[in-house]
Amino acid sequence: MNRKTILYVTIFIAWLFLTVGFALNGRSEGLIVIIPLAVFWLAGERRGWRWASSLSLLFYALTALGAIWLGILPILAILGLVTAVTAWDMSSFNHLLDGMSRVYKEDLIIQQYRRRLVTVAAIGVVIAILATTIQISFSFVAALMLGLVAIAGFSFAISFLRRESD
Amino acid sequence: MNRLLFLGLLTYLVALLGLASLNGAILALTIPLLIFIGASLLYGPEQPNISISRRLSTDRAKENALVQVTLTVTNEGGRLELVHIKDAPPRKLALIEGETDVLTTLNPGETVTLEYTLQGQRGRYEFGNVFVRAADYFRLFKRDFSLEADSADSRVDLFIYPDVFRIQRIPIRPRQTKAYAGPIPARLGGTGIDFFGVRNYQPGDPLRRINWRANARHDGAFFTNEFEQERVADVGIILDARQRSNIQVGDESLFEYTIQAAATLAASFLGDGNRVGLLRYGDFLDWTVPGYGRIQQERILQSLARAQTGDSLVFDQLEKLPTRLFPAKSQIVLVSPMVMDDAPFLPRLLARGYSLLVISPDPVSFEAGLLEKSELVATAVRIARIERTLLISKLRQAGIQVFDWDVRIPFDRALGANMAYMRPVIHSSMSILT
Repeated sequence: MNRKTILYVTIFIAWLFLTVGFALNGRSEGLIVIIPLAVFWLAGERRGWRWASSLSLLFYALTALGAIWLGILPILAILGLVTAVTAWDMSSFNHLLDGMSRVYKEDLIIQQYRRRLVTVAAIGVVIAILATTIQISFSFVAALMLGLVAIAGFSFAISFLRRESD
Repeated sequence: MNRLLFLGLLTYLVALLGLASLNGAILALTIPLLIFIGASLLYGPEQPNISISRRLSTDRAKENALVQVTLTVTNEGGRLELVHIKDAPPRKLALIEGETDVLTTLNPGETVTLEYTLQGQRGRYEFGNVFVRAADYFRLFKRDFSLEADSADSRVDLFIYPDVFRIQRIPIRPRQTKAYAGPIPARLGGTGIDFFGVRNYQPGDPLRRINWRANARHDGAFFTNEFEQERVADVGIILDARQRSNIQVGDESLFEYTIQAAATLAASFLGDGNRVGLLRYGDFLDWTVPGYGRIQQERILQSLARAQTGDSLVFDQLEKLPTRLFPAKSQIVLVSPMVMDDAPFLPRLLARGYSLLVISPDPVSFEAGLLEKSELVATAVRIARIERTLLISKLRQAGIQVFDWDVRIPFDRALGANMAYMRPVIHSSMSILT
């Protein structure tokens, strides 16, 4: 299978996880959102719109959040989001390779990239699923403190990311 | 949008919504995203230790000749998962074959080679730094570098020389020649080919040089034939690089023809053994000190390769020609399309004792050939032609050799066809015949 086909299949799988989740829960409104989203993403990839994958991932993430909010199995939402992130990265990787006039050792690069992607995605899914089974109770003050620390930590992380991205 | 920033913001958004909703499952969605970012950070590139060497097949080429560039990149540090190497050949050179950039993965000690072929017009071209971008496979953390190619054993500048034609010897007669034998009549008696005169016999003169007829006429006296010595001379080439005289129509510039003529003349005079210098007269003065031989030809061609037109208030007219740069009584060759107000300055060079040859690429035929045909253009061409004819006849009347070159004909052919009219002017006041 070539790179594009694998990407299309990955987008389809990401769509499938959320679709199954909505279907199992009998939430047809979720299907109304997820089907056009997948179609848009596939169309964007066909037309070579670089921004389509990022926009689609954003909406996939929001749909996965909504799906959990609506009560579908978290494991399906996690799998859907991880597959969508995988597709997002593959899309960018494909654009990178296609934009090069020459790729030396292309097969090796693709092979190692896929291995890394699958490994990281698998680890992410396993840990996220494990995380959903853990329940920790906090007092209100502890939760408030934790929230503040999280916000401060995220702010620091974002500023770090911005610095790195310059 | 930057990928790292996008993914970071997305993670932040999901985490905030998870915290706001106090929903652990939503918070758990951030974990794969964080692991993705973490993996990229873990495998992200460190400071790459890369050595780059660029080699050109030649550092001096003719116009439109193919020049092969080989860029060798060696990873002398740790493993680089994804590395994008992009060479920066000068923009004005056309890429004919090969690629100037490559994406690869480099293990320690591994080397990747980029080969490409360039082609271009006259000029001096400098190769810039090599752009290197290193990243992990997820490309969230990237490092960009601009690295200088190793120049210790590789050439970094490319000179593309103007075309040099092979031409017949141009007859010149400077008032003073050098001591070495050459092709230019020296106005001195001695050994040579052309008859020069007769003098009294000196003991040691070869018998075959005795003029027996003169002896018969004069009782008891012997006369010997003398021939004109042929020597090399100093030749100063002045390249007119003024913008106002070298017109440009679209992408076509008359200056390229001026350069072509100067290069051909320099090669011809140097080939004859003369000492040749070059003065570029444009927005500034660029003086190539006179010299002999192939090395001097290289110097002159390099100067011509760099030459550009320019305007300056100081050197707007030929009045500021620094004639003292040229040896006294030497030959000056002015390569210039000329404008009307140049006429008064050129005879002054003769007055200072120089012999002057003007090679003038014709701007009228050049421009007329590039303009659309219309009655208005035809009238303008007629007027311009009259002005130019007048200018040239004024110069010829002043005793200046002028070659009016119709640039639609290649220089060698045009010169060859007009060689009969290129007889040097021998000024009566200095002539040996008087």
